Amino acid sequence: MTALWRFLRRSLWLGLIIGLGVLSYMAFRHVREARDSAPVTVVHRPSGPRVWYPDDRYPQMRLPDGRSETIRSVLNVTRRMHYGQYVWNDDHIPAGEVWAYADLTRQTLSVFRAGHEIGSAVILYGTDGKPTPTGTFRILARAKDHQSSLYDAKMPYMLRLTGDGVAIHASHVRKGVATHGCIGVPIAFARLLYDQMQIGDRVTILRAPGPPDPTARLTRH
Amino acid sequence: MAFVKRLTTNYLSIRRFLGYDGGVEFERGNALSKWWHKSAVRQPGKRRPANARRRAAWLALPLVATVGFAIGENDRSAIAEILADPMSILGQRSPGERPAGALTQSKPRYAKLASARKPFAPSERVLSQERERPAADAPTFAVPEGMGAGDPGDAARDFSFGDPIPEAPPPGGFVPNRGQGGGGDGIPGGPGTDGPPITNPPVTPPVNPTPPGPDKPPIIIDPGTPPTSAVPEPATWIALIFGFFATAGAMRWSRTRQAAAIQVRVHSKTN
Repeated sequence: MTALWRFLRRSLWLGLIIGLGVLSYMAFRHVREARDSAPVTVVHRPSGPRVWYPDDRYPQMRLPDGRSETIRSVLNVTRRMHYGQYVWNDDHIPAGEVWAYADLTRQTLSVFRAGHEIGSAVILYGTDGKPTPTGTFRILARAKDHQSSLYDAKMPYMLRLTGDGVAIHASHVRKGVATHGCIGVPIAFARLLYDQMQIGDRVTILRAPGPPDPTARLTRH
Repeated sequence: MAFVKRLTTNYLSIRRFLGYDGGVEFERGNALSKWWHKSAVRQPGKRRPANARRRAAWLALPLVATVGFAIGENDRSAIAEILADPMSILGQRSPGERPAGALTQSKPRYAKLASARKPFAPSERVLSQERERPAADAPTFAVPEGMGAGDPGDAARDFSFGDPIPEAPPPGGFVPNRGQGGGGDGIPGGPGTDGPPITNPPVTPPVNPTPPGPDKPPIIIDPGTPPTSAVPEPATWIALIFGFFATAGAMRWSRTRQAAAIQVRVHSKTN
């Protein structure tokens, strides 16, 4: 009788413990499932002037014309840029092919040399009535002091993109205005850009899908 | 069950359950509670029964097992670190999308309304024919990371890392027009103007003492916080002094209150 009673007691305790273990195992089921389904990825944003991509994992920017551009590094601008602002940093960047990428959705222009972004600026672009054409263009002409025959206005550091006069040139970049289809950049940036780009270099103008990063507005100081 | 009920009653009963306290007589109880008391509770002058110790170990086991389940999760999860993709970085610096119709001027201005000779037609705001002067002669800020700065106001707000560079004549001979404004064209033209020539500061990239290659990441300089002065500002001083006096006042006030309360108590006692 005593032995039977002890056996029952032990079974009771054992059952209790096993039950608790099973319950705790079930309680963390969703954690295990989340762990097993997708690895945790952390977006790493290094400090410093530039985000360098590792040699074996260069991002490829696929452009609508079928071209694919390798991006080796981009300027590490963590804050929202304002109208008229630009960044330029080509330290330690080797000579190479230069191309420019104008993003009408983000209202920015980026210059790449040998796959490294060396400059970026907030741009002005065409109105809805006179939109900036999108696509890939080659620079047809350069002029340091250009006088527009169409609008009778001076357009310093003009880089002509199309035969009908669309160009990248210096403008007073500020909020609330637009161009007749050209891309306006700050004059100091236009000077740097003019020195970089030669006739025949490619400029891709895109209205890239996807809204700009909303955190850009949240992190504004 | 009785011992379960006791277990959930209070802390003392848990101690009793584990055999730390003893000597409680039960007036009522079933056979199980009597057995429990006899077998697990330490009797005065005796060692705690081995049964109780074993029971405590059994109780601790599921707790330990639960902790193991909880802790072991993060160690085994694969944490992959990825770099931000270029488009998200471009999006972060973007001033935002220009909404459709943002430049449409659908109403005439008052001045135009007063002297309206022809009916008003909606138009879009573009760069005016009489251009405004680009902010070319504004001071450029020297940025340690080699970042340039365009608008001086914005630059001072967001990228203020140093003093403006002293102006020097650029090699290109670019002289912004600072004429009388009669021309109406603000974009800097040639050097043949009446106004005093304001030379434009060139953007001088900073010199890195140890130039790393493109494949080797350069020295990382955190552009983070601008240097702050060790001397607090007047508002800080005022807040500091005010807080000091407020603390002193609060202490005095509470002491007088306590003293008054004691006096009242003493007074009531004597009465």
